[in-house]
Amino acid sequence: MAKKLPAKDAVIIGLGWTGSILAHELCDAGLSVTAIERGPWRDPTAEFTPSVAQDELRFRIRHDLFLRPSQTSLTFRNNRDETALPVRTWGAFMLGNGAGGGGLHWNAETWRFLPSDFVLQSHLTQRYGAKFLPEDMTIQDWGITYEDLEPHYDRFEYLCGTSGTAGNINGQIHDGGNPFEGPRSRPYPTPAQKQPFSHTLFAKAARELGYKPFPQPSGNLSQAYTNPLGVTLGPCTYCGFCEWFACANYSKASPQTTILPVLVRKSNFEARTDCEVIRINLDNLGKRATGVTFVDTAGEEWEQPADLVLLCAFQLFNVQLLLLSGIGQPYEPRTGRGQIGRNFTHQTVSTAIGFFDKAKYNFNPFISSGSIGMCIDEFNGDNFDHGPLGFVGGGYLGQVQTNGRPMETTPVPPGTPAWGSEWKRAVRDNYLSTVYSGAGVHASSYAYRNNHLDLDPTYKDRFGRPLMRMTMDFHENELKMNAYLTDRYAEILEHMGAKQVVKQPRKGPYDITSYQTSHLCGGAIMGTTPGDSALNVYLQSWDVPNLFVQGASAFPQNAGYNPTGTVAALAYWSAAAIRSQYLKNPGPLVHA
Amino acid sequence: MHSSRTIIASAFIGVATLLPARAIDIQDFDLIQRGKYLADIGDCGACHTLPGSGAMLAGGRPIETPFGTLLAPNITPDPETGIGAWIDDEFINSLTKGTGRNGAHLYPAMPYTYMTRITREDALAIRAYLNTIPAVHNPVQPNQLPFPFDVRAGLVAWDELNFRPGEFKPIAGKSPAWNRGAYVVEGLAHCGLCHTPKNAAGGDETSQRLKGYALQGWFAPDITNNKWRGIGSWSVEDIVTYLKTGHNRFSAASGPMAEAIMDSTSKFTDDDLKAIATYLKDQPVENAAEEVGDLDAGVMKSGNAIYADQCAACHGADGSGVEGLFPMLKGSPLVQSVDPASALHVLLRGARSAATDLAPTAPAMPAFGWMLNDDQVAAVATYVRNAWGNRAPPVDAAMVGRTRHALEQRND
Amino acid sequence: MAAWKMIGFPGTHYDYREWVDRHNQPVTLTAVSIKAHPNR
Repeated sequence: MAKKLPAKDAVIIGLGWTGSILAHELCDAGLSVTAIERGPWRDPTAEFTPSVAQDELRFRIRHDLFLRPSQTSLTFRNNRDETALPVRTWGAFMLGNGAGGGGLHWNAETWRFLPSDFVLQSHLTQRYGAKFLPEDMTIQDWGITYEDLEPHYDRFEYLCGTSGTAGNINGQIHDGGNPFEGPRSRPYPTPAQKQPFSHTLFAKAARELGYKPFPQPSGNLSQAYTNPLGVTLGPCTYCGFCEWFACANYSKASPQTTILPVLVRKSNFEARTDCEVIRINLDNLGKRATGVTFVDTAGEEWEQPADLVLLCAFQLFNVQLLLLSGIGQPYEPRTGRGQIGRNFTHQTVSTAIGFFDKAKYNFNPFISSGSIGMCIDEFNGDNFDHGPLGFVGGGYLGQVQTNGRPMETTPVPPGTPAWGSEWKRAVRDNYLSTVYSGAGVHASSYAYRNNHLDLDPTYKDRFGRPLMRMTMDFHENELKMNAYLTDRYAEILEHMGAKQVVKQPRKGPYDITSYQTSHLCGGAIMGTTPGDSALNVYLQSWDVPNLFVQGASAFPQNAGYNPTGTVAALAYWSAAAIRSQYLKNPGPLVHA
Repeated sequence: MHSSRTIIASAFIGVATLLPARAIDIQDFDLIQRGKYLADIGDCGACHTLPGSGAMLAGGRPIETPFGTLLAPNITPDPETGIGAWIDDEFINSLTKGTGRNGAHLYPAMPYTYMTRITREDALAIRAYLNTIPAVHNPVQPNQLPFPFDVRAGLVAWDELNFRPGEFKPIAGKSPAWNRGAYVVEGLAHCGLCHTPKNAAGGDETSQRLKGYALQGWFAPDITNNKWRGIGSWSVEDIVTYLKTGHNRFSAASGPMAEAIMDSTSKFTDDDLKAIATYLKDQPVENAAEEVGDLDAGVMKSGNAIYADQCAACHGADGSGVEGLFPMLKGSPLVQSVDPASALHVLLRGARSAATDLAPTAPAMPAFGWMLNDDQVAAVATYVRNAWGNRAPPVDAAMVGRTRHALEQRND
Repeated sequence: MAAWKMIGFPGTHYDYREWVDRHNQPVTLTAVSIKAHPNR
């Protein structure tokens, strides 16, 4: 029997980016808030000092900061006529754990989506005609516009101190920035980071080819910055141990370095770590959440009653908790009915490797940061004419090489043996002179009828609850799009002066074992009617009005950018609606 | 912060123990608020509140002295175990004369040598405030000292040497701000209790006022206008910002000073902070460099190498730090203190800096004691004390070893 | 650290701010391992 705790105004499931943003907003509004986080409290300074942070074996290879698959996992299959099997080591994506969530160990690449991304379905249909889109593609409009989100993108960027060069300020295009970006109301809070050698060479080559390169917007700050909450961040020192690592000198934007110091001082905030929420509880009619049930490390069950529930547990676990709690209808791909689990998307990344003459080029790849890079956006979204090309979607291309960590930086030309002295010689001869971005092509992932999430019929977690089952494969559209982008990317590397360029376009089937960003999206998407979405435009559940579901699970499909900027902007947008409308008059904010 | 419910309850208790000599109107809200502010200046809780007990000013907190440990008494209004039954004059005498109930002598761990400067009005205001806090039944036996220090009669002789009783008299010709600053610094805020070196009897070495003192595993630095190891290069603004937020462009408060800032000085009015700074900046200036002699080149090279690997990523290759985040080591009084205890404490054990509403980040320095041996700690300490124009005596491995051992004995 | 030295990875330095603008120049920092520095 679960022991009942004193009621709170709001309970927040998960203390990552959206959990921290919502916790702060609601505490600021005077609510009593409790955040329940499955993983441990994380204090970068105590645990990840410069003396220990750069441990590639521990953090990159052995996944020290991530969820242990033995605690919970998922099952995977490419399509419905296969049996899904459990994932025992993370591969295609990494699942965070602990306070800060993905915000602790992300690269801090802080992008905005394009205005056309929010009205994707109507935009593409209008431009190319409905028949141009694959029959089983299920993309949708979001129900909001870029203009709706702009002030909230701005808010997140100023929270983080994001370093960048604006390309479009109130409609005025500025040289050096991204000419394709939606209009922003003001410049970035700090200037762009300095770029190492290969990144500037890429930009030069891109410019010569007629593109307009710009620095990647970076949450690794170019200079010290104090945000509107009074929290101070330091300047990034280009250590090259960013993604999958915690930052040891306060220079990567994370909940820890932007919000938590202020949040923990609020007397109306409480956090419980190492506690896993196993269910969102509903009343007898199933129309109202009464709180959550969670399990602590002793295995004790507790009930936390609350008037308002914020589900901030990351895309995958958001969807799982909705399904396990009986909220909304599970999606059935055969019939097309049900919203929960539908429109699951990821990211379509690829790269090309540029081998350069080591006598002429020394790139020092270890001097880097998580969001360093020079990018071009000519091939993102619908920034280019897809008509002659026969596909939709796109992504940014960039020299965005984040590191030269020795275990993972062993690019060798094709034909090199996979081990032995020849291999070692090739690694030695190419380490300092190779352009080797993990995702030189960072492209969109549009939604399809068959790519979805549901509950596995066989495999269960330690509480006896079904694991999430992921059914996912690439479609011809994405592979064609990615191949085209990879070719364009390779051209730039060639023009840079590479002596050999090896293209590595994305190939199907979708491989659960090879890392392709952690940008999982969809499954509890936002929209304008309950008939085609799980949430209204404020991220409020159509089924349970006192439940709001944050995160990329709300994306109807994924665009050609890293999603966190948009995830955070949506969180601020949703929080604003909760504060200005919901709290004054609890109930559905949209009447469909 | 206590709820209004609690205040009302304790006011009832105050009424119940009403004694003829009471001169305070228990409903004088202004007086009580003023008393609270003065209690914040005096930081009574730093000694009289046991951390984690939830019982404000109920005593029982161990106070380290050079002669052994005392337990701070219960100063809640409880009539049996607190000071609820004391008449006002008894309370005032405890602050100004160092005598407790029935004339018993207090140990100078209760800084009556400083509190003596308080005006009667201020003392009564504090009393008025203390009458309103929750009464806690907590019997405390303060005297935990070993023989012969547990014999209070010895304090009479101590007072002869070390105690000059008397209310503060403003100095003519000095500004009101200066006089206010002097009243606070030399009185209620008792800065010298930590920052003034002590003589063999444990009293202030008055000729060395505010020139630093080692206690509780730290060295409270020199806060005179010494350019090298004091606040000579700090402006009035720097001092105000530091006391108000815990951070300024040079320094981040940690250890006992962080506590003093979070619990006490961050609550001072801006006027009082400026007054304190005005008074402190009017002390004699000392610009002469420290006599250090030749430094071992090998030690400096080694220290430089360690600094580059372990320290520069935050404190900068040039020692300039990042304002509000990583203290500036170049020109730092803490770094250049003759006694390196604080620098070694921070190096060996790490430290979390003060968190205040205006500066909530509370950046922390990681510990290095686990990965640097005594030679290495001595090298990097000597390096930072003498790089970028800094000048301070070198640190040797033996000193580091002693410090490491002493810190290991501490349970805080 | 033999492999690191061989490939030209200077090890666990945390601060490259003085090097990021020195394009196409070798980094002359002594290789340092996560555990110790040779000059100590």
